[in-house]
Amino acid sequence: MSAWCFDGSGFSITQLLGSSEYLLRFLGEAFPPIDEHRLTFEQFHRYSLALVETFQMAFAGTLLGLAIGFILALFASRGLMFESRRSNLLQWSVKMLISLFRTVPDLVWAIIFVMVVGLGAFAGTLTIMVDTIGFCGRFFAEEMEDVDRSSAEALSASGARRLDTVFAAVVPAATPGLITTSLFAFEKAIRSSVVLGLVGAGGIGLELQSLMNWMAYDRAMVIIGMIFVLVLVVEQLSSYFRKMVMKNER
Amino acid sequence: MAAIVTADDVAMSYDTTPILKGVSFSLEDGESLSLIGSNGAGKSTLIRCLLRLELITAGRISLFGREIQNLKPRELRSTRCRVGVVFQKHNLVPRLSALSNVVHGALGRNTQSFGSMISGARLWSHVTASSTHREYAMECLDRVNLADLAYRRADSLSGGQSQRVAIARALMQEPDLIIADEPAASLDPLAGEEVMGLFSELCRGAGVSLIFSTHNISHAVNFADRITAMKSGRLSLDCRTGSVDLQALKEEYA
Repeated sequence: MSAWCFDGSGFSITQLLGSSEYLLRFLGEAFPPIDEHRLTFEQFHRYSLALVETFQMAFAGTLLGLAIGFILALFASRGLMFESRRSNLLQWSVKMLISLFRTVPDLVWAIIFVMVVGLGAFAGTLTIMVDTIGFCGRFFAEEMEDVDRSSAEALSASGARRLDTVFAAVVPAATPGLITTSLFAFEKAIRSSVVLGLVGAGGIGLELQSLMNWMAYDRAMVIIGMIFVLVLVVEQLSSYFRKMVMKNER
Repeated sequence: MAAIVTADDVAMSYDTTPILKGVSFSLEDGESLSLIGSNGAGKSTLIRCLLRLELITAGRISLFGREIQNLKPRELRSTRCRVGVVFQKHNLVPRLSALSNVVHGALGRNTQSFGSMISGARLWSHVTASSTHREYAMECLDRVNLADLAYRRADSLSGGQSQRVAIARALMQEPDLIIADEPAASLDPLAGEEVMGLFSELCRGAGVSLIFSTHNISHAVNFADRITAMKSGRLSLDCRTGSVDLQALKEEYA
């Protein structure tokens, strides 16, 4: 199986080693990042604004995705909101919708949204939103399915509405999982939002693509460095908050 | 006195395995009834059937004069909200405070109109609950001597304290009937005695009817007016606690 897959993937050590001169040429031109074409303050300012836009796209898209993903997860979670044969159909339909959002790659969504709303950050935000719905919709639903339902049953036995049992018993019990999933979704969104610019969906990826096209590898390396710092900071903060949440659960 | 609970020839099966076989009894207003029997006798299933947490396969159960198996969801909720339920494992929301768990007891009373959805949402936590609900919840915690632990998370309470919170939650409902499934089973003997005493005292004091199941024959006799026993899904005993021979009961059911 492995041999078959490696054969089909075109993996070749000789080709990789034979191409090393191209890699070395790229690295030679990329380092030091601001040697050949001096990086002006205006350029750095523009890249910084694009980086901020990338963060804004990721944050706004994640927030929208979390809200919609959470609502869909309520209906996708087995036996949570309804319990009847008709509700099974609804649950299945919502699960399929979430699967659709998740399985279509974000770059494909970006191309679709660029066609629909035009080039720019809005297309990127919509892409991040849809991607987050797919990711969180699935994991939120699983988190809520895994919760011990005994406390919800106790409230139901005392006459509480289904919606009240969900929000008073199931959601609080699932909260640590919901928070950690949300933080992972944001990390994922930051990484995605960087590449969305490659298809015109706003953010710093657009700048990176144009510099690569112009073979201005030194300035491209500056952008890659800025992206690295942004992703690293977000991952570190996310990891810190996750640890805080888990610490409170011990 | 009128019967507030009636079970008439109730049968219930899981797949093809019969669990309850023709169980009949009734409970009058203000009365307390204990239910004993060995593991697998059908006590918990009967209790779950009384609340329609399980569906019966034959017979009839009525609560407050309403046949519960035929009730529509809203009618079922309005019937259930008159019944405080205490489970063996407390069934509290672990991450919330004791006070929030008690506030949840008022959720059932807030389900009768669409407008009550908003006030119902305020009862999801003690933080958002109205001051009236919060104060009454504190009063209920005070009645079970736990007011000083009101803001402690439920998962940090001991078994006995958790069971007291569950009782306070039931009291918050202002129920006409409390149904408790082995409320002392997960507690040590001292805490179990204390919790049962509290139950009995609160129910008698407020005129609330009580049905509880137990493995402890002394609890069944000391804290109820009537004792019933189950064997292999059938009711094998139903009499006043004053007229039973404790030793004979222990020999047969302990």
